[in-house]
Amino acid sequence: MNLQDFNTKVYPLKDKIFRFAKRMLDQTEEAEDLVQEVFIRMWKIREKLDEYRSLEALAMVTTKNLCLDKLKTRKFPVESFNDQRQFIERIAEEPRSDHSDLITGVKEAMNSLPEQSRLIVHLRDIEGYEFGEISEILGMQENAIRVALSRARQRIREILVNSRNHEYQRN
Amino acid sequence: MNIKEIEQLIERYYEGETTLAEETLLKEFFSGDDVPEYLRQHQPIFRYFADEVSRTLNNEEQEKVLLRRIGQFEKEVSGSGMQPVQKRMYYLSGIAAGLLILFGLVFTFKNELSKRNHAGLVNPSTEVAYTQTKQALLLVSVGLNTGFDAVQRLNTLNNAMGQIQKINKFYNYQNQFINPERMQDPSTNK
Repeated sequence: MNLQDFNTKVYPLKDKIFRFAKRMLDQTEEAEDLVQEVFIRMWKIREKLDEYRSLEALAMVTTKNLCLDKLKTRKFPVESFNDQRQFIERIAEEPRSDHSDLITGVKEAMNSLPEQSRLIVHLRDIEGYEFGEISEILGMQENAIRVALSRARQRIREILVNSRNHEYQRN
Repeated sequence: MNIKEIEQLIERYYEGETTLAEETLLKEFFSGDDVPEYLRQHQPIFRYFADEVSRTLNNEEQEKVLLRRIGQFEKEVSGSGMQPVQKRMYYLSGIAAGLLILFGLVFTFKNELSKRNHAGLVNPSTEVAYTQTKQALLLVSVGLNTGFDAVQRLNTLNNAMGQIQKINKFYNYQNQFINPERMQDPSTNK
């Protein structure tokens, strides 16, 4: 694979890689850096890229593995930092309609899911992958993915319903 | 698509049984504004997914960095002649730095010496005498060190002597066995 192929076939994956990395790392800067790392990895094996059935699946698997490495070496939890940032973001976007509040609720519900379920929902409902592709990326059986996906979707719905009821009680 | 079908799709969605095409239909349906009140509870979910997929590496800086990286890839492929030159420069700069440090040391040392001479604290002949003595002492020191080496050899001799001691002991025991009446000697020594 030459540079031109790389630019037309691998480069357009940047947003998907970024979103997946962001989903796993929950940190924009790290996700941005990770996109580069994935590209470097892919470039290093450019001679072999043509042998892969799906470049996209390869890129996503690489992203997943690099993210897992990164999460393993994290010396301190970034949660506090992110919470702060979300807090600031929320202040900045204070005048919001109820609607986007609800969307934020979905985001929070997503974050409360176990990592694997979160990734499955991400790959299916956001990136629109077939179960076969998800199974390739996550290294899981398709059936297990279906079950986990269904559970995760219902869980999100439950959380949203609960938070709404909570809100009604408060009002 | 009528609302009944949408309802069914939603149910199947939560069961994880919808196809990608059907899920796209749901996303489209919920992105519209004519969602009936009783289905509104599902709207944020599909809106969120639609929002998220439009999230891009939305950072010009990052795009530039990425493109520059890819530009570097190109250099690696085409202009590999650049590499050895850089390498040579790297080593040359190292050598230059080493020489600089050496010269610096020599000059400061010389300066120091000439300063002392200028100060007149020591007149040249005593200076010469001083350096000569120093050299002589150095010689002694070096000689002493080689002497120590010789002493080291003495140590090995000592060790060897120890071995011989063992043989002596053996002889003693042998004598005891041969002439048991002499056994008295060591015990009285105790």
